[in-house]
Amino acid sequence: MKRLFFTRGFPLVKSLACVCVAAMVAGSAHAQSMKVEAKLVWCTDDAHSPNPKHHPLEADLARRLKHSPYRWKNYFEESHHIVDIPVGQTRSRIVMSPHCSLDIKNLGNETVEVRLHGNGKPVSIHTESLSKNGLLVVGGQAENETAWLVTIRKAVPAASLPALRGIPAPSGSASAR
Amino acid sequence: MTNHESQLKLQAFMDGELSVREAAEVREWLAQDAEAHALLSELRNTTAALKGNEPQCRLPETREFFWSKIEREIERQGAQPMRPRPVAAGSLLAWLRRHLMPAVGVAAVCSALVFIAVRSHGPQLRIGEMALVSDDMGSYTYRDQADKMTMVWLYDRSSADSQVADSSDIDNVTTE
Repeated sequence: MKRLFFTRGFPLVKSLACVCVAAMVAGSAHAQSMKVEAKLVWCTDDAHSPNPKHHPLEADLARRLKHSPYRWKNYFEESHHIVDIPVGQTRSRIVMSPHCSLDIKNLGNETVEVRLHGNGKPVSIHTESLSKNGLLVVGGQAENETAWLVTIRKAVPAASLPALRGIPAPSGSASAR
Repeated sequence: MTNHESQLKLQAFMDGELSVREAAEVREWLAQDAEAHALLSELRNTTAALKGNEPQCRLPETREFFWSKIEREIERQGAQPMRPRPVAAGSLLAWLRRHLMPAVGVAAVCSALVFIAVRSHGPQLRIGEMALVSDDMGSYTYRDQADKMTMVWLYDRSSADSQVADSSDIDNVTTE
């Protein structure tokens, strides 16, 4: 009876082939990285921000934030970073402000562990899946009925940014790699 | 009446192991005791049957010659130098089996260890969970499954104002 080529002899060769394929798959999976976007947002009911460096938050993100129980009329972007994090690795000390920084670890499967630091001290740890446009928001109250928010999500590809944001890219944005 | 000792004596008489005096006593006893005479006859018949049918195993050669052949063969093999097994020319499979099989085994073990190490550094928190490091902080969590959004609202238990970042902090932000 005829047999397929791969089912004929050479068990060692087949074993080696399987090991190589498994190693390649595992290696490629492990080498995958994820671009994570982190933004610091100031929330207020005032129409304008006193800080000239502020600019209105992109429309899509502002719309999502307005659906939460903690809502304000206007959201202003303070800073944002896009970090490329390989699986299993951590980008430490992503400075959102002089008093707020993040450690973000790529846990794989589009899941991140975010450690929030306030004034250099650890405040909280969050584990969240960012798949399917997942969004993690960590915030707190500020003075005069305002608030600050840190938003974390997968970085939106540059090609789709104009459609999502509806505004020009901020001049103060930065990428930490 | 023949007891066990008498039977043994009768067997010794048959085998010619008794002294002259004892043999004469046994002959006298046999002449008077028919049962002893019958037993002697049975013993003689049994002995004759065994002698006639005993298997005879004979070597085709003498014992000394047989063992000398074995000794010579042992000496001959001991004198030959150990030679490596000839490897068939172009036997790639034999080479792979000899050299790569251990390497494959080591690679498999290393891969398993790496996999376990990677898995062991997995998330300490389950997806969607959060932990506060400071006891002074409290939190509320809002989760919108439809919008795939999780919002964690932090607050200072001891103060109404957030100490992590306030408006002045945000005002002083310098972007990179």
